[in-house]
Amino acid sequence: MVLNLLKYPDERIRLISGNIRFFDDSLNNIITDLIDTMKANDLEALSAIQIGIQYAVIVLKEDGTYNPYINLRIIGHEGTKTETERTPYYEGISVDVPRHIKIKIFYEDEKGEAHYDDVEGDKARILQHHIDYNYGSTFVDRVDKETKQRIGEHLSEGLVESSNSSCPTVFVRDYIKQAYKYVMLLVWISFLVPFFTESISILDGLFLFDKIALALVVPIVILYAAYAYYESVKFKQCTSCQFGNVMGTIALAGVQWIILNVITYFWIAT
Amino acid sequence: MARVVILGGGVSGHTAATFAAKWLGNGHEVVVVTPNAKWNWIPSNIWVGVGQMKKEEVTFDLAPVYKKAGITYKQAKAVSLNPEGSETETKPFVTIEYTGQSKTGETEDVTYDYVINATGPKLNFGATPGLGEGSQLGDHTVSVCTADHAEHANHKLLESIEKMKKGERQKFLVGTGHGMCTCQGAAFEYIFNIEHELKKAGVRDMADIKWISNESFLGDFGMGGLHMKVGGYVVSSKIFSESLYAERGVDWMIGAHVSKVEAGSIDYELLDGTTGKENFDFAMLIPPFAGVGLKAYGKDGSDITDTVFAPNGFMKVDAKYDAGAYENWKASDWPRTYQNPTYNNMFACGIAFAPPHIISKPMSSPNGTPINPTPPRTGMPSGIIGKAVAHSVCDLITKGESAHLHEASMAEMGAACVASAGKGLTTGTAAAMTVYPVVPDFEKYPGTGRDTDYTFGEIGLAGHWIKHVLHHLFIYKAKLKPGWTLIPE
Repeated sequence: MVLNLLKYPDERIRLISGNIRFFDDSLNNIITDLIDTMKANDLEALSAIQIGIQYAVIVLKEDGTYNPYINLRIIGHEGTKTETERTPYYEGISVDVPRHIKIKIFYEDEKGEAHYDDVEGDKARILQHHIDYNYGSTFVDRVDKETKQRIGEHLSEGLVESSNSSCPTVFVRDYIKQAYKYVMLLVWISFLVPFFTESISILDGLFLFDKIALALVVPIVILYAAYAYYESVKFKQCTSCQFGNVMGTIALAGVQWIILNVITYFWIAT
Repeated sequence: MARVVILGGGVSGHTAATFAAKWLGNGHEVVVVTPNAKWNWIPSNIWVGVGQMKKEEVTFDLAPVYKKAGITYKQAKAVSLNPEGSETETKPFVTIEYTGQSKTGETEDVTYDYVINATGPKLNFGATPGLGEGSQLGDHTVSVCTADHAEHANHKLLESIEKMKKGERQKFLVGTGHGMCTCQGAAFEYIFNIEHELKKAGVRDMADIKWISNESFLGDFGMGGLHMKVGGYVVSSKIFSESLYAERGVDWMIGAHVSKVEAGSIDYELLDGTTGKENFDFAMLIPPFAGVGLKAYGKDGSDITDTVFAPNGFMKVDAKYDAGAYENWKASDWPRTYQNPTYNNMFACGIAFAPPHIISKPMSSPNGTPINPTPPRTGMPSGIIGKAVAHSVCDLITKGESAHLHEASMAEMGAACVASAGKGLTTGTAAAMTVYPVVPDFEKYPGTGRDTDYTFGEIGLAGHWIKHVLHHLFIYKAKLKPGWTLIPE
């Protein structure tokens, strides 16, 4: 069956393909779909994830026959050469990509028989290009930062967004953090006032202000903690140690809050 | 009064012992049998191996900690188990041989009501002829598996740096010393820490650095690979590793089984069956793991080791050991309670339990040599399993034999790991990685068997800080300082 080729900005191209464990009819169906899709689109090679199937199957057209490379591994390499590559995923984009000239490969055929081979030239390049798809990558991951940026500018949604849409660059919780920081900053500034005036009424007013401000910090920090928890659950994949960061931030806020209280009590009130 | 004997004082055993002592209180006795006088935060051994930390910073004396916790501490190694007792002793017991406490060499039979086997692995240097850690086992290669090994590795590294300063080129070979190793992450950390140190010493241009491992692709880390976030882009660990190695000028060889080590060279076999020789001046090769070689005897003194232990020396637990070939593997093969199927009062945790099979795709060369990473069971999973087992044993003691056992399957558990390249607070790169679940569940997550939302890595400076924080946090926890129970495993 001819299946649709994944096109940018389809995020499924980022999925890591699983190894084939069962050499049965379902594998044969995958291979047939790959071959049909290759014929329909006049392609020389195709990885299963390019038609949305998350398994490590690559089919290569060699001298008119379609050969499957299952669970392919590159276990040796020699030399590098840069040549231009294209992919149906990013239409209209071609990129110079460095690849190994000679590679040693391991793969299994449709019956699960293991094969080992030394490959070079175009075939080596095509296999290296297609094994990248198995690992959730495309050639843009193989080029330098500037080229990556140039490609990003060409694409309607850029590269960063397409590759990782679910991680925000700014968390809402950081705005809440800003809020309590500003309040505490005002209290810090208030400590300068006694240097300029000894008027009891002004200082009384200031003490009241500081008390209210410091009391206000508590619910804001609690709100921060609650929102940070919500965000860390929502964006659990975004950083590996959000919990630690949030705990640290709250601890720092707490320490600062205690210091401010002490200074307010001894410096402003008395 | 019941007695719980815990064999081993590593991450898993220490966690189990300290929680058991806390939960059981004074009414019962907790005994720890470990041949080591010190506790070692193993992940930081990498820094000892490049001279960034002293041995004393990654270890501390166990005796005062156990005294404070009310744990009976015997500095000894377990030799054998008699789960049915003997003709003269009605209770089950473990035979130990002292390695310290001024009783070195003496043996003793310690009876138990429950035993937790957390001996960790035997560093099986013997599996590859010539592989060693610089002592009687083999003095050609070094290791960073223990604090002492790491100190020796640093000594050798400094010698190589001196030679390079005198104009002598040096070849560094770092990786796994056998086809069936785990801990690629540690070797990965070490190779880039070496690279960092050589740069600092100004001799990087005099060094050739090469990676050798049993992974079937670079960036497998024994976990089958994962995605990484690097400066806003997402990239697979394979491509990240390949570009990191290329950028740092580190060559690599994968799918390799080291078959023999001689002075200055190794013999290897690749996945395709070809063999070759690789020269080196400095080599740090991780050994494979095996069980510590505990024996087990029946009441009449007959050898029942095969009943209690798997052929690789690890203790049999409630896992499915007859799952067969790769395609039949299921997440449910993995143990949940870590209870020995024959003797209900025996448990195993950490590296000491026998896994049902490996995690990565099994691979072997045409000659039949298996070359694939073996399952990682260290760090976070070890601690969690140790705590669950301690919980079960405590419940069995306090609530009776019918108590519900606590479960901690590695197929339902995540793990985090941090691999740093260099120790600086402001420079360098570190990879912080999380995987969920550790053991792929192909039924729940078709394809790779992992939840892609939770299986993720991040590259950057923050990883360094996390590693520093973990170092202090876990040593603090292990010393049972105030609030230790609040720090997760």
